[in-house]
Amino acid sequence: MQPYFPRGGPQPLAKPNRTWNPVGYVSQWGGMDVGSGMLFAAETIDGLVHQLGGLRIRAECSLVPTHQYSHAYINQQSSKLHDDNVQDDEKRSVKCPVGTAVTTSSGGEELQQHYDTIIHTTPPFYNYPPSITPELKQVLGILDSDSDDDNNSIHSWSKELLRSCYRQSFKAAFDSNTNKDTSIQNGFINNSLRLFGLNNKRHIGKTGKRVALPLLGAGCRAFPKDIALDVAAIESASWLSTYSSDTSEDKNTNEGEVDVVAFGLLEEDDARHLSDRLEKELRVSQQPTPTT
Amino acid sequence: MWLKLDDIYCNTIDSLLSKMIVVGDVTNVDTQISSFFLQKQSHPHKLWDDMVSKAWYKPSALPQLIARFESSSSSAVTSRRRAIEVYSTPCIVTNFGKQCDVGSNDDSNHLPQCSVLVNPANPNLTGPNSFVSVYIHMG
Repeated sequence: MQPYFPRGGPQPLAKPNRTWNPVGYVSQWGGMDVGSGMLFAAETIDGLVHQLGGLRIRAECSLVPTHQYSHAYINQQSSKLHDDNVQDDEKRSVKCPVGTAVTTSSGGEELQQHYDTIIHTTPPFYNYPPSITPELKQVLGILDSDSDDDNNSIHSWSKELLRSCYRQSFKAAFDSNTNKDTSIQNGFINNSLRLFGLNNKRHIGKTGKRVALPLLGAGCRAFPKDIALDVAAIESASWLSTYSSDTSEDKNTNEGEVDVVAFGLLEEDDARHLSDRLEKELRVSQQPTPTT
Repeated sequence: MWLKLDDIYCNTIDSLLSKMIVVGDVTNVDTQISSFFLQKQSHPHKLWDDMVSKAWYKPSALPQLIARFESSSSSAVTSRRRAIEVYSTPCIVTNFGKQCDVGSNDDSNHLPQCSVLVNPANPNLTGPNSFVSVYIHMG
C-alpha cells in the first residue's frame, strides 16, 4: 500500500522511497509534497478493505489473471487535460482495468466478519480517464458521445466508464454465468493459496444476493458529487427496470426471492439526493414505485 | 516552512480521526476533536473542509434506511424480484455487512446485512500493486 496519494489523480510517476515517514517527514512522492488534497489509505473504502482483508486478499488479488479486456487499453489514465507526466506502466496486462470488475473472497478474518465476497471495480479518475479507443468502447459496450469540446468529451468518457463500473459490478454480483467463471477462477486461487498455507476452509467466492454499494467515483477519483449521484441513479434504475434474460440464472433460489442493491452513503443528505434521483429515473421508466 | 508543517499536522489529525471512525474507537476522542477544531479554525478554506464528513459524530450508529424501491413484478424466467435500498451509514466496510445487526432488535428488518461488497478499487494507490500488473521476466 502507498502511504498517501492525491485525490483526483493523476497517479504519481515515482513511488515513495523506502525512507518515507507517515508522521510528516515525507518530502516528496512523484514531486508532490504532503498537504491538502492528499488522502491516506484508511480514509478510503479500498484502503479499509485491504487493511481488514490482510495478506489473504492481497494474495487473491495477486492471483487474479490478466483481464480479458486488458488488450483494449492503451493506458489506465490519460494525460490529455493537465500534464504529460502521467504514469502509464500497465502495459496491457491489467487485472482489473478501469471500467471493469473482478471478484475475490473477503480474505482475512476481520473482513470475513462483514462480507463473504468482494467485487473490485476500478472507476476512472474524473480528469484522467484511460485513452479512448474504438476497441475499448466496443468491449465495454459504450456508445459514441456527441461532445466536441476536449474537456467535455474527456468528462463524458469518464462518466461512461463509471457507468460501465456499475454494469460490470451488477453483472459480477447477479449474473450466474459470471459467478460460474468466478468459481472456476476461485478454485484455482483456492488451490494456489493452499500451497502457501493461506487458504482457509470456507468456500471462496460464494455470492450473496444483497450487495453493498458505495457511491463509486466520488472519493479519490474525484467525480463531482452531482455527477456521481446521477450515474448511480441511472445505472441502478436501469438494473432495477430490466430483468436478466439469462435462462440459466440460478434456479436454486426460493420463490419470490429479492435481489437487493443497497447503497451505503456517508452523508444523509447525499442518500436523500440519491433517493430523489432514483425516484425520478424510475418514474421515467414507469416500472417500479417507491415503498418507503 | 511553518505552513507546510501545519498541513502535515492537519492531515495526520484527519487521518487519525478517520481511523477512529472506522474502528469505532472513542479513546481520547475529545483531545483529538479539540485539536481538529483548532486546526479547522486556523485554516477555514482548506480543501479537506469539504472532504471531512459529519459521519464521525456517530461512529457506531446503525445504517439508516432512507428509501427502498422494489420492482413491481418478478421476472417470468426466474421468479426473482429486484430492489434498491438507500442507506446512510458511517462506514460501508465495517458497519453495513452481515454483522451490523449486533445490538439491534426491532429494526433488524431495516438493516442492510449485505454479504457482497462492491469495492471501488485503487490499484497502485491503496490496493496492492500486484493487482494492476505482474511482470515475469524469464531468461
